[in-house]
Amino acid sequence: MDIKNSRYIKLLGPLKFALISALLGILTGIGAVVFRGLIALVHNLVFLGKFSFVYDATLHTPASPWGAFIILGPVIGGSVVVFLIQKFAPEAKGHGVPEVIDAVYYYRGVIRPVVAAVKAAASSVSIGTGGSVGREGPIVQIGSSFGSTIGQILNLPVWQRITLIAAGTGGGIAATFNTPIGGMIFAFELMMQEFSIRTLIPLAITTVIATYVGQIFFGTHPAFVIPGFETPYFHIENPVVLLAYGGLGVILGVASALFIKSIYAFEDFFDKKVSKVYYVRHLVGMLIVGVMFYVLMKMRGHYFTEGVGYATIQDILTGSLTGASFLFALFCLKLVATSTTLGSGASGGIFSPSLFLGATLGGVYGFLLHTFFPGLDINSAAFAVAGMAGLAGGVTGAAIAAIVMIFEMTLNYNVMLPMVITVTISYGVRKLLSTESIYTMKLARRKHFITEVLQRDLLYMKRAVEIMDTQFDTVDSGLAAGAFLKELPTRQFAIHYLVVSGGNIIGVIKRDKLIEAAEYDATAKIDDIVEKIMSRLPRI
Amino acid sequence: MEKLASKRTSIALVLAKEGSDSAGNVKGIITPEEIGKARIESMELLAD
Repeated sequence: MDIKNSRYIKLLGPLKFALISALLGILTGIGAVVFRGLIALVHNLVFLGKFSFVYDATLHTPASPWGAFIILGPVIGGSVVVFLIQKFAPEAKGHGVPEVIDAVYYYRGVIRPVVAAVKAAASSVSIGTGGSVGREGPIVQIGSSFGSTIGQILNLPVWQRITLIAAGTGGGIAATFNTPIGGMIFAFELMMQEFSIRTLIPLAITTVIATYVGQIFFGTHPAFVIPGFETPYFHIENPVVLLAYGGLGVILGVASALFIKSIYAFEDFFDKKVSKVYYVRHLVGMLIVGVMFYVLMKMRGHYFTEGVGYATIQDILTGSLTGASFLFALFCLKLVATSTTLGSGASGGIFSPSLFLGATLGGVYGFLLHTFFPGLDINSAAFAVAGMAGLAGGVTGAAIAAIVMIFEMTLNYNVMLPMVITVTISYGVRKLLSTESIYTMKLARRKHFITEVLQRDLLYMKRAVEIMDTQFDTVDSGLAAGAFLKELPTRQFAIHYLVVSGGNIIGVIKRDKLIEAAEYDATAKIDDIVEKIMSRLPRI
Repeated sequence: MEKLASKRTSIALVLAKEGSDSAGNVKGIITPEEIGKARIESMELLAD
């Protein structure tokens, strides 16, 4: 569908646009439910040999009845992923969000409709078979594909199509994670070129409805429960602890830059050193991932690094997984597992791995502080939560979205101050070490540069009278060009000439162009000259 | 003339009293160049 050259672009009025946004909310919510259902089905079939849609990612997967053969799960899944991506939608490869940002900024908001189906299928297989990737990238691509497709079918103008893409993004995130505000801010920080009432209302409508649809199927409870914060009221008594969160922010900023570099270094490694053949490099990568989580199961009793990793995060938050050395080992292993999964060509997001990496690193930091400064009353879980937000914000550049999403995923306001400190410092340090976020890095490598800066357009504050040209004169359309040239020295200086006929304006022409044309053919009338070069029918 | 025709001036905005297309009512003209200059001035306020 060639929207760019369509002659039938149709702007929807506010009411119709709101209704379309509501429809998008229903579709995106259902898309999120189907996507999570597919992940559950694939996961249960591959790991447990059960046909079931019930899957609580915050609980560890029991040991597979297949024993060591579970290592082949990600390999078989990898072959399905490569087939789907190569056959139907190459843009479904990777973590998804960069492709949506690319569509917004470089392709006028056009995303192929097939991307939603292929992304849902490929990512559910990648995640369900144990790939170390998350759900946010895929659901962003699914929701935004719905939005773009609706925009294309209705031949909407570019801004409305992009607004629907952002709305699909926000709705998808919100429905998947039960984070409506975070979803909206995520869309605002990464997708929207304009933040105004005409874009906010559709975004809000889609996000609210998609979240509601998600809550019908997944419930209203938060993603994570932090028992240590519930009672008594968690409060930082010693201000020195706030400084400690600043230190965590610095560490997370470095880790964010490391994660970004690692993903693309692994991608280059698999492409250049392993094989140019997509099947070969991805199957090799997924074999490594399978071996990693199987060895962890044999040594420590859980497949810690497989899938979205929420069970490990939940363990850290509840305090059942402690020990600085093991947490740091998990951080390193997850970093390698995610980089291998995505670097070798899987389909899945980086947000959930970011939460895992942040929780482990925050846990290590909190544990060490507690050990060496017992008088500070350190709560390791609070550092883990701040770590989750800090790494997600640093890696993605969606700093406010990270803070709000983690708040909504834990529903605990007590850790808000630590999160704000950690995230902002992490984001700043990451920016010093890596100009590009994990999303924009992929686009920068193909010379599609995206700004991470949103600035108010001060041009809108200028009044027309401040910028208009007042040095103009009128010239009669019936005047001969030669006569005009003779009159010129006696006329007042003008930058523009209004060409008039009987007192009415018929066009505008710049002085230089009029003189050039008149000198070219002095016998012609102004009307004939300007016919070809002036702006006719000015808007008044 | 063909050469000049390829340099066709783009749309200009003529500011006049509402509802009037009389030349005597025109207060000023805004072309893309004027908008471009104003945008650069605006951006300078945000530049390092």
